[in-house]
Amino acid sequence: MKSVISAHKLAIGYTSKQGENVISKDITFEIPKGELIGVIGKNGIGKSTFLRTISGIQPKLNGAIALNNKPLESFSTKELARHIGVVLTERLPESNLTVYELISLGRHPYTNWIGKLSKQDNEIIKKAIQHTQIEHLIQKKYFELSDGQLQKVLIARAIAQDTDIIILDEPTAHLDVHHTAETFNMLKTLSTTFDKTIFVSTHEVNLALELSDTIFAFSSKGLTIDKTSKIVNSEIMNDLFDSDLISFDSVNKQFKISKNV
Amino acid sequence: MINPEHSYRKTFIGLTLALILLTFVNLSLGSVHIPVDQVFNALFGNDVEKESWIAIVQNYRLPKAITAILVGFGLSISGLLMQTLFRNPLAGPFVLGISSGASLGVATLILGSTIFGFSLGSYSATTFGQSIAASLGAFLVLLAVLLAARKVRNTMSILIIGLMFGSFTSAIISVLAYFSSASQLQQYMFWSFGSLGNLGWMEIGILGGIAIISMILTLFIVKPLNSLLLGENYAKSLGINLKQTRYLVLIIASLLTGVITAFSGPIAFIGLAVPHLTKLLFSTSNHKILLPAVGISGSIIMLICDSIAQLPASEYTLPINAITSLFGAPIIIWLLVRKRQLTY
Repeated sequence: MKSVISAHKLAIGYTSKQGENVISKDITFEIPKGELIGVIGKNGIGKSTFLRTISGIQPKLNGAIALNNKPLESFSTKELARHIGVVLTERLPESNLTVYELISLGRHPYTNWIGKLSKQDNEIIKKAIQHTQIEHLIQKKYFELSDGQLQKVLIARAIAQDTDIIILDEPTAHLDVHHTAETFNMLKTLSTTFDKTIFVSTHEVNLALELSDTIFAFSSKGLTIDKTSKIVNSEIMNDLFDSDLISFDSVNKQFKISKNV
Repeated sequence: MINPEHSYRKTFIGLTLALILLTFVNLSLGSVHIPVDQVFNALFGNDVEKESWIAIVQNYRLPKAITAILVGFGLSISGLLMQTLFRNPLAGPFVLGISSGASLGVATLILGSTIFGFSLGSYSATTFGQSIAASLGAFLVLLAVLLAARKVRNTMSILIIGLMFGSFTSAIISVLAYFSSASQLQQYMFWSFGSLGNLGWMEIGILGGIAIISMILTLFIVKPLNSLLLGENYAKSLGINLKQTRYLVLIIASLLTGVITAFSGPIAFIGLAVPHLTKLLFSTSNHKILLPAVGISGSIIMLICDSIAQLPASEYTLPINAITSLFGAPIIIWLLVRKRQLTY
């Protein structure tokens, strides 16, 4: 199987003067092109650390990550920018950027030294705008947007970066049900029609189980990686939240909140 | 689809015309009023009503006007670079402690003789000696900041370290001042008032050369600066070399601030206020437009401040540093009170 991204015995976490703080280890996987991958688990269990590590923002502790079968370290920051695009949780610093300018920043890995957009660049930006259906917003300043609109713009920016892999850290955190569903749908079509590999961490577990091809489930027992169809029938789903309040209904493939415990 | 550069062409033409016009107004004002048409004649070697006007315009007012243009340009660009790098609307060319270093150099030269027991009296009075001392001081602090920048990962820490260098050098100056005589203190005070009129053509050449080098270097960081508008992590994910960008920004900003402070004293507020004023006028964050816009606006505002400082038709000249702050402080307050977002 030709994998876009793979890992072998990967350990993630932080190093400090006191030593290594390992968050998860022995992570091994191979992901083919065009998959939507849901990364689920409780707050603080390591989803963001994992995504930051495979996107090259944070150094790994041990093991190997490979992009197109080449070690992640062999890519320069500039080359990496043509393979992996990200949508982060952090707030953008204040600025006067318009939506169009913000999306066009996604073309930086391809533009010349002063950042001039070519005709082709503008075509790609236009496509990203069409795909995310934000044509009506492009003249606005980004700080005038609602959370839902801003999330679409950030996704459009990642699409404009034209990478094989897009990594999104909790893109639906501040969104209502409608925008959450819309975002997931958009990511699904992006993976199927544009053949992109998309990692998305989320607390919308039910939606993730419905739409993802593969699930990365972080639980107290470590990280479990499997096809969604298999993982929903496994024991791990009951351990995911480690709580009596939440149970997994394996018939409907949904998490439920128990009323009286 | 959208060509953002296009819509600003008229504003740029307007600003450039204003700059040229103000240069002539500036040249015509002073203790002796020279009509603008006579200024024009004096500049281009035509006949002038009074012979002395040629000397006044060519030897005194023209160098001062050029200095004002260069100083305003350099300090404003430097301020914009600091505000974008630190993503802080209150950053300016002075946050790195570079000008405090320059002040320390001059203070050591003028005030230090009592403590260190040697006399540099003959040098301390000359502009040249003061420029050398200021350059040395600025350069030493620049080195210290760059060394610190190598050790620290977090950009915000550099900001704090710069401020610490600033307070440290100010403290040394206070100690020096405590042991100094009244006449030495007065001499130092006059330097710290700032002055645009002390530069000969050679100094202007150096200042202009540094300004041009900085401009060329800035061209190469337009793209990284624009990516930094999304924050450091996004900039990195777009393939930007953060460390290299950081060094370039620090070097350009401190070169400009250092050489300007060395030649014309610590001039306040221009570097902080002009980027904000320009952003209100242009309403963009694209550095391809902002950098030249901020530079030209800085020159214009410096020319205006200088024209006011000369108290037209009087014998007196007010310290330029007082004028920039007199205008700068209310502008910053007005911006904050209006609650207009201070964007950077």
